[in-house]
Amino acid sequence: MRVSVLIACWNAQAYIGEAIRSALDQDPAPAELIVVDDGSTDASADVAGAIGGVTLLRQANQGVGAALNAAAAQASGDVLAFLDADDLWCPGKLAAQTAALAAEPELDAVFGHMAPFASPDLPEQERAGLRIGTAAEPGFVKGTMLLRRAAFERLGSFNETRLFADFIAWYAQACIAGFHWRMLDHLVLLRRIHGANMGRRERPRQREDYLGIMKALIDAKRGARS
Amino acid sequence: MLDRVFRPAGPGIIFKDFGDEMVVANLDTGLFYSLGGSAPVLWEKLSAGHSGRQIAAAFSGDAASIEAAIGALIAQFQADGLLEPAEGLEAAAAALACGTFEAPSVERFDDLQGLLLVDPIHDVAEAGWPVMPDAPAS
Repeated sequence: MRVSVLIACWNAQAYIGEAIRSALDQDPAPAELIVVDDGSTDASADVAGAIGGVTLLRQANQGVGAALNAAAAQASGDVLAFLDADDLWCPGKLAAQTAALAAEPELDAVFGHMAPFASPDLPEQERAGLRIGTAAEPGFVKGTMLLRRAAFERLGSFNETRLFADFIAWYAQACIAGFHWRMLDHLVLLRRIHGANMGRRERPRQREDYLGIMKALIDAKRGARS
Repeated sequence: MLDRVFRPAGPGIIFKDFGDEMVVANLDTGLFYSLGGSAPVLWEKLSAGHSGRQIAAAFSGDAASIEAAIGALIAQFQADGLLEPAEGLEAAAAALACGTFEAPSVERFDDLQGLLLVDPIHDVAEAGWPVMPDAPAS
């Protein structure tokens, strides 16, 4: 099973290297790792491009959805894996998930569990102001998902306008199209909590996106019933 | 219950009137709701601080059955954590006219629950990603 790892990156110079290594160090290693630098103004692209085995694409800042679509268009693997530029995969992520997909040909994708961690560079003062959990939980995020490429082509690409809810928008459209997945018990992803996670300024836009996605899903379900 | 004043039960309650229906979401439970009939008007007036009795009086129709329907809806909104009593607040004074009462409908959806509940933090810094400070998204 050839795995293409897709990473969208925007101003993550401090974290992108570690993220990439957590993917390249998997056993079995991915067939390819594609980073799309989404118009970073820092040294993210330089950091990513300096690591052997990375295919680096650059685009003007268009958002995560557009960056991942560009990466997927370039991908040659028969399964797609996603990793946010500031997160880390756990060892054994690809081994467990490729085995699970191979065992159940009817599945489009598998997910896994995830756990948050406080980034070492997070100032103590900020850390104290956050409620960061520690327990692993089912990770309904793209960073835990291993998805057959054929399913991605059938279910549709990422919405490029839901800038603040790209994965929920994709998941909703995938559900409408008939998405077959399984949540595995393995811990596969560590989500970094740092000072630049989506902030208060973005929350109103994110909530507007959520409500629009919900409305579209309701309409689609209603249409399917009638 | 009909004389109490309510408010949305915290910042995790979001809603939008789409014209043909109101969508209300509880980000703390990951559930979302489609409100139909007179439920969108009821939600709007209740969350704006009007009492159930005030709203009932603003509808044309059988007062007793309207009050019963509104009481049941308030109970459901409370049970689902969407509304909470606004202690110490007086009912809003503005006169209301809500037209003809239609049986309220509430449909609940859990399709996105797993995704809405995985937000790892509930209080974050001002800066964020993805951010496009110089090129607002269109």
